[in-house]
Amino acid sequence: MRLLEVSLENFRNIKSMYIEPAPGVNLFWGENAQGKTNLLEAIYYLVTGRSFRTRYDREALPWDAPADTTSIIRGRVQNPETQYNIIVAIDQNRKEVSCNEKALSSLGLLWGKMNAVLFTPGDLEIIQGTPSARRRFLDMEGSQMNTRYLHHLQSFNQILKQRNALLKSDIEEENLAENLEVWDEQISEHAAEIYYFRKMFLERLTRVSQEIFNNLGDTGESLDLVYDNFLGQKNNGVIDKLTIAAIYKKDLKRLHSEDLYRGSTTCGPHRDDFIIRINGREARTYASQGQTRSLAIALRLAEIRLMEEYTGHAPLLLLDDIVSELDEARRRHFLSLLKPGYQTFITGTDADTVAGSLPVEKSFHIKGGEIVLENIDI
Amino acid sequence: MLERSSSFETLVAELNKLPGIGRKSAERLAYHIIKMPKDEALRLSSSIKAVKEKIFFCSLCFNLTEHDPCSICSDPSRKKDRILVVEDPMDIAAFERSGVYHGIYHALQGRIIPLKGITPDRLRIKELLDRIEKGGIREVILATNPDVEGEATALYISKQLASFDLEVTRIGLGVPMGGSLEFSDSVTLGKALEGRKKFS
Ligand SMILES: Nc1ncnc2c1ncn2[C@@H]1O[C@H](COP(=O)(O)OP(=O)(O)OP(=O)(O)O)[C@@H](O)[C@H]1O
Ligand SMILES: [Mg+2]
Ligand SMILES: [Zn+2]
Repeated sequence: MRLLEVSLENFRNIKSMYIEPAPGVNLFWGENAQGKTNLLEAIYYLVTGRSFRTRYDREALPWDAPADTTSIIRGRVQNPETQYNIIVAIDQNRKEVSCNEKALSSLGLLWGKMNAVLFTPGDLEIIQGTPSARRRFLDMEGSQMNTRYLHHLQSFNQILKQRNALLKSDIEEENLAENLEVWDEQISEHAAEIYYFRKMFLERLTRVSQEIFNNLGDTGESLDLVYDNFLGQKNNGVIDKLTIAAIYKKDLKRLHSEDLYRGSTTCGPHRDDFIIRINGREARTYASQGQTRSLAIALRLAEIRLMEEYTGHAPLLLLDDIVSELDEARRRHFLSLLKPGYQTFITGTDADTVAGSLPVEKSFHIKGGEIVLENIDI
Repeated sequence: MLERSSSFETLVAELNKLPGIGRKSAERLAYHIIKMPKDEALRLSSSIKAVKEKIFFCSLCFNLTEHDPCSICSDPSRKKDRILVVEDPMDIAAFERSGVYHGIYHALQGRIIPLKGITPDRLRIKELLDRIEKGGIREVILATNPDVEGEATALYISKQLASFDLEVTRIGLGVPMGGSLEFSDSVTLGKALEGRKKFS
């Protein structure tokens, strides 16, 4: 999978830009606040239809632009079999994503056409942040790897909204069961699928990231990812989907009055988490800064391998400011783990630091939202 | 540029209330209406008036009709022992176009959507139960849309029907998940109807 062309119009501080990335490593370099991360964000939009910085698409519109401005990101992608023209257009009110000149009715139709693994300083949140940061990690990665997972997540969330609306309404307690049942029955099937995927995914992620974590230099430490899920221990290790759905449905029923009292669904995969342990201790509270960085990177590197296993394609790699964050030893280790063969986009303030450790094929000097210098084979 | 008069604003506001019509589209339509020949515009307004005066819901099946009961309910050649339950009269029209169904219908006038405050008592479910109670019905086919709200509605009705001696089926296959019956073609609807499954 390869990005052949990217062009931008009115995207944050970028008025207009066109690049033809190399198949290997592409470097965006320049001083702070010039537009390097913006360009990476635009590429991420082509892959996922979303930003990795914000939930609000309209933040992409240039601040000083007139109200009817449209941000447009265009990309041409080469898959082994086909080429796709992907366009993301954002204005004040809406976002439209199209593939080969056909508007897509949901982002699910975009996902899977192209995959990317993104490394950003914000990844530390996966280790240090709240459960929702870890769920977002699971869901973004899972959805890219398996669009069925995305479908179950979307359905689950839609039913959850309906169910919660019912719990917030002035429904009488005696009518509650009859009205909730029709949602419980459906939501438990999706919950079982979500459980099943997360369980399997975390098991594979543990295996792969453990190995990478050790290679990164923090030798000998054990790494565990424990799925802290809505079933607790009730399933006794059984992961048959029908059994899981039945257990969850029963739990939901047991909690009907409790849920009514709270006005929302108290138990379910929307509350899931996974606990990261180094040598048996929870990393969220005990890991050092250096360990936290290595961990975040180990998870992302593991993700590359899993993405390839699940989809059969090498993902794009988007690396924002990663190289500058690591000390010399970790940097060399990290970069040596990035085997050649991935189309890579990497940002940095200093061209030499990156070029000294990676075979950069094309470099773009970014200044004030423009490319001021383009080099091949520096 | 036209000076914005209050009658123009009223028209825009009214058009804006229609489903799928935002403020901008409403303005565009209003300008279009202003530019239309007068007799054409009046034909539009009198046809709106006519449907509001002549068309109402069939008292048996809640289809749209100019006579009560509607032409389907009063057609002696229709098989009266099976009811196809749909969300809206538009779905009845889709099945009629397909020509694959020869029984009678029941339009619920919507589906369960707690987010919009639409609870089962706001639908024509009680009327459906009344019709079945009167006897003569052997099969109820649930053909609500194949998305989460349509599914919830079908489930709810199937539970209400559990105490009757009836075959309750759900149209299956064919209609794409998340698709809408109204836009499904005849072949798809035909297959969906053939592939209906017993509701457990
Ligand atoms: N919507 C917007 N409209 C106009 N400018 C914006 C918008 N959003 C962000 N910017 C500006 O874009 C500039 C470049 O941002 P970007 O995050 O890409 O910098 P960078 O080159 O990655 O810098 P660093 O090396 O510090 O990470 C910043 O000055 C920021 O204020
Ligand atoms: Mg940056
Ligand atoms: Zn009728």
